[in-house]
Amino acid sequence: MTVSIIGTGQSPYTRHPAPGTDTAQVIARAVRNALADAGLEPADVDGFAVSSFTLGPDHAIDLAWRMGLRLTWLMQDTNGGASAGGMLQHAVRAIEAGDARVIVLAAGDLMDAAAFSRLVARYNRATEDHLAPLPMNGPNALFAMLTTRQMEALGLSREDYGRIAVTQRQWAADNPAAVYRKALTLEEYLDAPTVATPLGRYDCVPPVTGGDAVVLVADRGSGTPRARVLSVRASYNADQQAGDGLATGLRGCARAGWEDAGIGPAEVGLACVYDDYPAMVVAQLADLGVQPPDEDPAGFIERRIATRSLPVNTSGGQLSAGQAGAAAGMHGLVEAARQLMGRAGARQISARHAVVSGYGMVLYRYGACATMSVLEAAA
Amino acid sequence: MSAIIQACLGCETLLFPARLFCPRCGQEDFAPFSAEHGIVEQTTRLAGGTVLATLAIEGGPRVIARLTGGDAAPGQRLPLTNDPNAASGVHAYIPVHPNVNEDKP
Repeated sequence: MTVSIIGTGQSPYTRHPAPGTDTAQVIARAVRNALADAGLEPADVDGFAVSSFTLGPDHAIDLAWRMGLRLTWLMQDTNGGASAGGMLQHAVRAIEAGDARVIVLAAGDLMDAAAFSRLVARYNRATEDHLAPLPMNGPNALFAMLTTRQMEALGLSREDYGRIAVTQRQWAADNPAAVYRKALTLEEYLDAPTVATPLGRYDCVPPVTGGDAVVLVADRGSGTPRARVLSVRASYNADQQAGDGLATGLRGCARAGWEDAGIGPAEVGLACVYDDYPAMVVAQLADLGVQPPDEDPAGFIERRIATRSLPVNTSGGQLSAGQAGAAAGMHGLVEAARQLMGRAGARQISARHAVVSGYGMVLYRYGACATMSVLEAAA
Repeated sequence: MSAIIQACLGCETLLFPARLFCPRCGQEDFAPFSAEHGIVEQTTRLAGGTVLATLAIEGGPRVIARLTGGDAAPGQRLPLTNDPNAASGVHAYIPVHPNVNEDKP
């Protein structure tokens, strides 16, 4: 059996949520919009999964109740930037096994300055005990040092990372839902205030409040524009945090992900990779094999990404659209499904296959979770 | 001057932050270990001037520290400390939970 995404929805991303905004409302808005996109009602849903850092004290069941969902399948995922792939992996199996027929995957967060500070101070035990007291407020410094390692290993320069940020901003110009859409020049990127050397402002995602959701069903056959899920793979704690962080867990699961999908990385017309920092775009495209192993990374960025001959993060990615907490993991899945369903508006591209990756949960020095999924357009 | 990390009693693997089971041998018995030095691998200077570093402990894990008492370059060997107010000279400060400090030999 094949499982397909037949609807996507977002709760508008915003840097400055209106007073009184709460996480449950934000997620519910994304769910409502995804159901409307799929032509379904809440009563049609029998499976629900959610990921959020700020949903507490509520859990998935509270949200289901408050949305009036009567379910035979329910899950909550805690893996941040990798949560979409994790939820998708479980949901596909649940539909195949007959545990549910219509599953909504959702994620969202109220991520104002206070919520962000709370999140990064107590992200996990290792952060609370060994990083926050340094002091370190969020992962920028860790990814600054990872970027330095990657620059040395791959011979990349600030300009190379800048081309990724500048190109994603070009895509964002055509995404009304992105929080930053004004053109960014390479000079502006290079001259931006330093956050943590070598990272500047445009290397770091802007936290936003927002939500994302998709609707999954068993494939209905022709007549419904949809994004068929060809494969989902996940990797958790692949290297015990004992490496340099330049390889993600994708390196170990990509081969199986492509085999399951029945296509190779050269055949994808769209890559939506988790872009918490430009260095992680580079790392994931290489681990997925989308950047051919024999190709020079700087040349690949210049020839394929910056020219947009390979569309990467066509929503503008988190770097331009914003990082909505745990919804950041769903962001690329929503964008890939929209593109494959022909619903991407002015930034619509022509692609039959897309690869989506998730990455996240910094345990101590870098992210420990990675997911990949391969999608195919069908109608 | 030193920083406390974790040593597996089964296979002597050095770990930080502390684990529940040894990732190498699977044992669950550990002892505190005083690591005295680390080699600076990367540093990053934050907007406010703070310098953080990744250091490799000889024969052990990589740790994240704040440099106190001055700057350091990659390749430099620095004394490690759990004391943010370490004595004069450049040190790599590694915060530990107060409960860990109580175990300090």
